[in-house]
Amino acid sequence: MTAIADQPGEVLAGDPRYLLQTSDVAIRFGGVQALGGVDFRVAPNQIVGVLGPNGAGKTTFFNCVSGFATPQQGQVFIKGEDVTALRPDERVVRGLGRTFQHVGLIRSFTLLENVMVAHHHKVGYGDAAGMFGMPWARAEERELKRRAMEVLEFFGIAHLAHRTLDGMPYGTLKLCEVAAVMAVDPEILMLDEPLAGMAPEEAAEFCDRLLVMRDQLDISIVMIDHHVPQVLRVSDYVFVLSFGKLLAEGVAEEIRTNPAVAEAYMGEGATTLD
Amino acid sequence: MAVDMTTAPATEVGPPAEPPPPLHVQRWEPDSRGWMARWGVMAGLLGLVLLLATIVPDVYTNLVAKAAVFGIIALSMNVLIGYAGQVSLGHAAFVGAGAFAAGYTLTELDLPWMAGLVVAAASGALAAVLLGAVALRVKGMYLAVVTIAYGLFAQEVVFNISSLTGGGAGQTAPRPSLFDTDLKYAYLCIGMLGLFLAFDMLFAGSKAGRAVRALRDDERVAASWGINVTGYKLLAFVLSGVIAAFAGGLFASIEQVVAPADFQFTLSLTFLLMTVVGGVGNRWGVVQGGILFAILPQVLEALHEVHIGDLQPFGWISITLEPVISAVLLILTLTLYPGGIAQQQHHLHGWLSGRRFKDHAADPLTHPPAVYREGDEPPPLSAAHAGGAAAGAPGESSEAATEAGGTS
Repeated sequence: MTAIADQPGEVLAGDPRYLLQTSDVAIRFGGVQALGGVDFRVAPNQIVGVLGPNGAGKTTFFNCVSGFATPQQGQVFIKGEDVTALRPDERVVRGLGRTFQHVGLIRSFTLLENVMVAHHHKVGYGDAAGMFGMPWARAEERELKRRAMEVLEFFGIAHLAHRTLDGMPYGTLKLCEVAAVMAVDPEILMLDEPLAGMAPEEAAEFCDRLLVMRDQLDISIVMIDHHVPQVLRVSDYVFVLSFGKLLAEGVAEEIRTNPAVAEAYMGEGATTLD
Repeated sequence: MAVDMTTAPATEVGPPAEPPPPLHVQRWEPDSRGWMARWGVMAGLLGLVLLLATIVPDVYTNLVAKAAVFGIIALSMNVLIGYAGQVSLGHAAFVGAGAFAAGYTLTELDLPWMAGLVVAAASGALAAVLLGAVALRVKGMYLAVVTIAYGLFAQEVVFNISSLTGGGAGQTAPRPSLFDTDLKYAYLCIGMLGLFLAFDMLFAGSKAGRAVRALRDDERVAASWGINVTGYKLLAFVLSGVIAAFAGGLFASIEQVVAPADFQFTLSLTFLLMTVVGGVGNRWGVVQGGILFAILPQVLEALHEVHIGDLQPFGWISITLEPVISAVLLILTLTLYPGGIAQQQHHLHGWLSGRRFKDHAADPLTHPPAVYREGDEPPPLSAAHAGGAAAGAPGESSEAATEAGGTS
């Protein structure tokens, strides 16, 4: 499964075999070098974990990839196309979906409305047709609602469709967020600390769902998280960042036993992540 | 990959199957008597609004037209403040631009009345694009300052170009021949208010409306769902400007003359106040706020004139109290009812849209309601959701009270 990702030496920038690729991405905030030249690849139908201690630049890296931060150096490619200069919403249209560390949902909307607005760029009718209530726009709205309900049903939260988000448990909110971003119909789904704040069973269940999504929906998932055992359990390939640089990459087993990674995470003298 | 997750497992190959029927979440619904009661109240309210223009004394007929126009302006403010979350303290500029554009088109160019409104709307769009181009670069307090500057600029410079606006004497704006009397024109304004309410409902429920409302809450999240944040913010500015200028065009023909003095900075403040007091984000609330602030000066004046025998019990009330009353209303709204008039009518709105007057349905989190496909027989409603069984007949008295408040 990780065949092409196993040969980092032969990769050229903008290789269309990869859904997502970055080449030498660097960004500096004032005197802080948040990222210092990161090369990163995601092959189709993979779960890729991104590990790293606090402040390693993981979220900044996500922001560079999804367009919320502009790297001063390097390029970002989606399916071989250079998207470095594009806005976040333009990258979404090219197949990139992401979630946020805080819950990325619209608080004043019901869950169903959230999923419907997340469908935004899939809506075929024009803005004006919708505003003036043209019959084809109304027909598509009904279809949109039907699909949104199916998405919610897939994630087992259809019964919450008409509820607003206040007071929902964190795990449910995270699931709602993934349901909404799946409505974007991404080929690459980037999850920023999806397991933070979840109980161990909740986290395990969530990761099982990611495996189902990878296999059934044929997408790649990039996941940042601190929950090392779960990330290593579900990831096909893992990148480790430390101080804005790539510390290591490889399949889960290589990372688990990599002494440099263990040292970055556990402190000096550690030789394995377990 | 298909978004349609029911067909997602790639196990079977072949022509795509017919999509399954839509899913519904079971919820309480009124029976036919309940619906009849709701439709009856709605028809009554509508009838009251329509009757109002005829039953008020003739001197107030133009006030009804003004109230309807203020309702439209409130909807325009709501698009910007309530939906897009952008503040405007210069809305009088849009209304004025529309009024003078309509007046100029009708008087100087001698074009038919409808053309006046079209030119008014176009001028509003242009004014909004100009403001939007600047305003999209700044946020919060700075945006407010920019809009003030914009309003003052329009008032001091543009509206004083005598060849366009007629200078101090004002620009005449005749009415269309079909609606030449006060009463007919008032009905035209009420009809337009109805049209814009319908438009607002369509807009808010469409792709563009959802996108605008989403970016108000969180621009980053909206962008992560593929929404062009800048583009939709500009759209909100333009829509708001077009609606306000259209209302300005209608406004011009109420008294059939408009002067630059009609569009002072304080008018922009009134527009903001009426939106906040009405209930930001709620179309029915802001329209009532607009109506309230449109008639407030005349109500004060009428109270002042009340005579009982030789006594003038409200003689101490005068039109100069208007800013004080507005300020008190604003403070009361912000402290007690941040949702404005709409929040006070929350139960009535819920009841009219087919829920119970006081909705005590259980939280779907703790008591998951059934989810069923269209065409299937929905399972019996669980006790937690059916609760408050005799919900078809809400308290008539409380409803009448809200209603009376609503049409003030």
